[in-house]
Amino acid sequence: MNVMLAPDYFRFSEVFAPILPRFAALWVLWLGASACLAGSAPAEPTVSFVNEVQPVLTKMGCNSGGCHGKATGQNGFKLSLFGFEADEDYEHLVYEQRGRRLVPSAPARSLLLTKGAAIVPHGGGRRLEPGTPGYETLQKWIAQGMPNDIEDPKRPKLESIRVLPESRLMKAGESQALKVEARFSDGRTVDVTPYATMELNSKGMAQLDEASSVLTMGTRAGSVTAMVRYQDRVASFRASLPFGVPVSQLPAERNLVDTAIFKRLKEVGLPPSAVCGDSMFLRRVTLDIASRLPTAEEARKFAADTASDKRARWVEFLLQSDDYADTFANYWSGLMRNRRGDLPLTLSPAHIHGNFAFHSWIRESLYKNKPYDRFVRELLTASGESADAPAATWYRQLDSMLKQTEDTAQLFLGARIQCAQCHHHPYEQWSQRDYYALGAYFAQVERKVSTSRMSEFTVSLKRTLPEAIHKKTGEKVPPGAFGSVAPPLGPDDDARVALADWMTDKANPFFAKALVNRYWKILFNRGLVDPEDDMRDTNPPSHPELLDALAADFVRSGFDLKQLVRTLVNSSAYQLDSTPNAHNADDEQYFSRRYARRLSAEQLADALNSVTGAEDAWANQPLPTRAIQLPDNSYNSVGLLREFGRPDATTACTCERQGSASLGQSLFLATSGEISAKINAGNGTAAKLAADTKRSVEERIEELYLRAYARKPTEKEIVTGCEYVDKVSSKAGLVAPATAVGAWQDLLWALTTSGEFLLNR
Amino acid sequence: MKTNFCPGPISRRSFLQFGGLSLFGMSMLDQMRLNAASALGAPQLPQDTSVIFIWLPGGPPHMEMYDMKPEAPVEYRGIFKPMKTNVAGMEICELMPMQAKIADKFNIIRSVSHEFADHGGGHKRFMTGRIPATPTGTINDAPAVTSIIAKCLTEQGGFKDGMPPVVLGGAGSFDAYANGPAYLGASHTPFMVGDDPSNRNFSVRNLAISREMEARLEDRIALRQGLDNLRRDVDQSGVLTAMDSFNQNAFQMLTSTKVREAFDIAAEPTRVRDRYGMHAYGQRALLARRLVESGCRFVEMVWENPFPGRPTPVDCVQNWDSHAVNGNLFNDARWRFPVYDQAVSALIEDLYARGLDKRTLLVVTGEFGRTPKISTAVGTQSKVMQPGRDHWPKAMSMIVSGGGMRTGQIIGATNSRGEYPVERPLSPNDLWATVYQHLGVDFTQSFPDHQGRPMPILPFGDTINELLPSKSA
Repeated sequence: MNVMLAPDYFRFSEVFAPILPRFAALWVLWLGASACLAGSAPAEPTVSFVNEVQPVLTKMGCNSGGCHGKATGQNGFKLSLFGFEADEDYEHLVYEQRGRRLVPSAPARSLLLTKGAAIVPHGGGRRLEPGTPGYETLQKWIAQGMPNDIEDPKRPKLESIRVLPESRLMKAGESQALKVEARFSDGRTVDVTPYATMELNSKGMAQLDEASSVLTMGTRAGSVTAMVRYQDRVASFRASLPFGVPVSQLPAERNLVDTAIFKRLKEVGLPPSAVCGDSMFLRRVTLDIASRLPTAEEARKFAADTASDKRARWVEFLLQSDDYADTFANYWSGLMRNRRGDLPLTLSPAHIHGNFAFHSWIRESLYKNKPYDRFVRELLTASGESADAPAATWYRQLDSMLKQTEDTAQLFLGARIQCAQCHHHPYEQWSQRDYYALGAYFAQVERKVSTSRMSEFTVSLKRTLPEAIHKKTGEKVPPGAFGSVAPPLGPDDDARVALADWMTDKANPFFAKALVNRYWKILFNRGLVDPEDDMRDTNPPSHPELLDALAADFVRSGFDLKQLVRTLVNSSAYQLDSTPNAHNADDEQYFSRRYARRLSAEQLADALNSVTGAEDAWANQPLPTRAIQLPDNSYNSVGLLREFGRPDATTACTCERQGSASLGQSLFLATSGEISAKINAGNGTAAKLAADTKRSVEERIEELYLRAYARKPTEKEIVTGCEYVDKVSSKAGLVAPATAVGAWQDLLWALTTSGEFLLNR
Repeated sequence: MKTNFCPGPISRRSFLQFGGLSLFGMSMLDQMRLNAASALGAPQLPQDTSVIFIWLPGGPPHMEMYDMKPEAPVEYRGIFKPMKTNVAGMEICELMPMQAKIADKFNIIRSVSHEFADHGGGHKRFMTGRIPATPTGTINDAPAVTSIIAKCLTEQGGFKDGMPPVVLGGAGSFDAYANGPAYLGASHTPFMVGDDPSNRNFSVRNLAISREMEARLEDRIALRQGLDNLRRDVDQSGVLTAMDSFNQNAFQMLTSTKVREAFDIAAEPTRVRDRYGMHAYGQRALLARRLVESGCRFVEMVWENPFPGRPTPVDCVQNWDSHAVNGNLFNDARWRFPVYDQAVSALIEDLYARGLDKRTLLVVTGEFGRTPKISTAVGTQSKVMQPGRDHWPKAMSMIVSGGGMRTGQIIGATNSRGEYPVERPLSPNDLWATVYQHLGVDFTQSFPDHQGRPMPILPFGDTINELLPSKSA
């Protein structure tokens, strides 16, 4: 029918459409409607703007953050990011620029289509192929006069989506077509595959053709997830390519960790590396739990111990040590942004009292093994002056309801909801409303400069109803965490208590899982969900049943953090060798071997000192203080801590810690004054070993190896070391023959800058 | 540095097994010939291009330098007269006569502005190409352009012959002038040369090792290679492999003749050093020229105090921040501009004389301009009433030269009192888009932040097309 009308309308629109686009659009609508009523032509179903047009624009990437979806739009044409603001988009498509973007009388001439198909020059290239379902949808919608069903109460609302299949084992190179089904409020189930957006969580494993919705597996064994989005709903498909190696031998199953990890290894046919030897275990677990190297004496004793429970006993010893508390206090204190100096100096000359007190409150809590639910409750509900209520310092850096909300979600619920402040996250179920509902719990929090100590803060509560203002709609949102509804709260209630009640409830689906996944990441170097604080439907856990079981176990133990560490490190899975076998070198998700990691900046500083016999002096800290004990970020200007990426505690994300290598690090280890001072110290290890002529060269080399690597040197290493010492004494075959002390300095340098030293494996 | 290195025989280094040995023996002359060849004929490869970025922290006074308003009321225009240049209609301050003679070799942009009036915010706004989350402080929440370029150029294989692709001169810490890498991580930071090359004992820290130490290091590396037999596939994160390659880069840098020569500013003839001026501005400019000539792709030089270590006159300012309380705006200009004029003009002339102007783009700017209306206050040092100007991000001036760009133009204009742009309003991002394009870096790309959210390196902004070589020409 529109085709029939087109010639006349075309002329009409040429003349009037630029002036009266709204009228023109209505006019076509009206003509279309009357034609329908008259039954002059078979009715074509009306294209839905919300359910069809918007998803096409999303799928083509038109409204992505790099194109028209960014805040400023692109070349004068702006769409809302990922299409979550349908009314704005309709306005911009249909009316803006005097309606020049759409030509109902000749839809194919619409700028939307000619640009999208790159028929006229388009900075974004060709996004739409004429003839494809997406193109046809847009064309039909324009031809129908751009019907707007945003406010239409009869428009079926999207209820849920699912991907078919949900998961399957695949063969190398095999393809699987994905189908996306949407359920609408009118009870219909519709195939929305052409309108759904799809993305792989890891690009190297498979190919995904978005146009045909076909996933083709690559040749690398492992699992890959396709994230699928349609409107504001997400779902995922997991494809696994088994390694397919018979798994005949598995280490002893010690607890629930091993049950789940080994079960999966058998399923995918991936034989794990063997359980590691004593020295590797000793160095690994001592670094992980205590952030230090075992002493030479400890390494000797451990090797000589023949009892079968010696590993568990060593773990117990570490868990009860100060070093355990130092290690985990360092972790939490950084994530809780215990830092100096973001605020104007007049408000915060130093923060030193608050920071030190906050750090020692964290440390004390961990040392005494305060149950995690209590630890978090005390932090969330802290009130008073930070010097008296140290946990209140948390609110000093979190200077807005937004930061309090975001950090709470990220730290304790494993959810990154930052995006939802301004827009619906594309791969997340949380809406802007959820964001402000969580924020409402913090609406009463008031921060004031302390009257007794100018550098510190007092946290108090305003006597108001806890409500947050929705940034977009301006409505007052009452408290409610992630879909839950808070009990009625008055102006005299502390809404944060209600939040703590909800979080620490034994049945809370987020709280315990987020923590066990965090600790798993600390000890296994990859989260069951990874990144560990980004838990969402589209980033599923590698071992869902293990995550559930660990969380349940953690709740059952009364949120006992030490017990959790004990369970994890006493498992065979934790104790696997990091050296790959013939099959698992590529494994990055099944924990078939230990994933190694570079020592953290603090660990490296302390390890260097313990091997070289040096000591660092830190401002306002007694001697000896180890780097892992430093309470805040004010020490980070020192070369090593800075070069090796000690975080400045500016976010609640562990990703702020840099674990990577850099040119600066290499130069630092090679030529910095700090390193030479440690190596060359007159009372240091090299000087002492050189003077210790009572012991043989072999014995002294062994001492160095035990200190640096917690193991004895191999025959070859002894020979190489001895030869070097000999060469120095005979001054043969060297570029710069050193003195006797020099030989030990060189050995010390070589051993403490090697891969084996820098790695916790 | 004063040859702290020993060149040493090649054989001594060969065990290090570094690539690119063939280039070690290449003389500067050969290099110059190559440069000249690329400048003259062959189509420009982005690999050939480089940038010298001169940073004037504190905020240079646009109305005393490149955007003079002699017709404005006296409390706006100041006391200096504009001077004609060799480009008709292009006038600059009478205190900068050397630039006036070569104005055909640079452009003045008068219409860049932004919204951040604090030094910290202005630095972050300018250096990151993004709107900073907080208006103060110089620790970046988004990566600085220098980090982005370091990342992109390193990934393009930019670390040639031990030459770091990005060098930051005149800063002891990358946070000091908002050069922090934020979520790109510390491995993507410029190589820093903090010390003053006009100092007779100038050397590059962690790079200037004694001859004895250099030799000792080689013994140590050999020893470590003999002992470090750890399988690299133990580490699936790839840190070990990365570290091996950075170790190689480090030792390449430490032992590379090219790097040593590039940093050895003392090798430059006295005549040349004097033409640039024996002060921090001049010698940093000269060092920058030496570095780009040796393959460095982006050199930022901070020109803060022209004479580090010497007392600043009581009515002058240590940096460009010429508030009345800090110094006498006009006396500061009389003291500072000749130094500045000498260094800028020497650099431009030298780039052109060596044919580097075709591939090396020079940009000179600060974080903002200064208030068009002059204020007076008692100076904290001078103790007398004196004139000054405060922070003004709504208008600023900068110069752009070389890079094969069109020159001798004035781009944009401010209103009659120098308050805000009235023609061709631009933002720092437009400058960066031009710089990125010159280096062959895609300025529409994004990098994920700590939340995994893709952050465009320039959320807005486009190339300044007046600068680009005209296609028809």
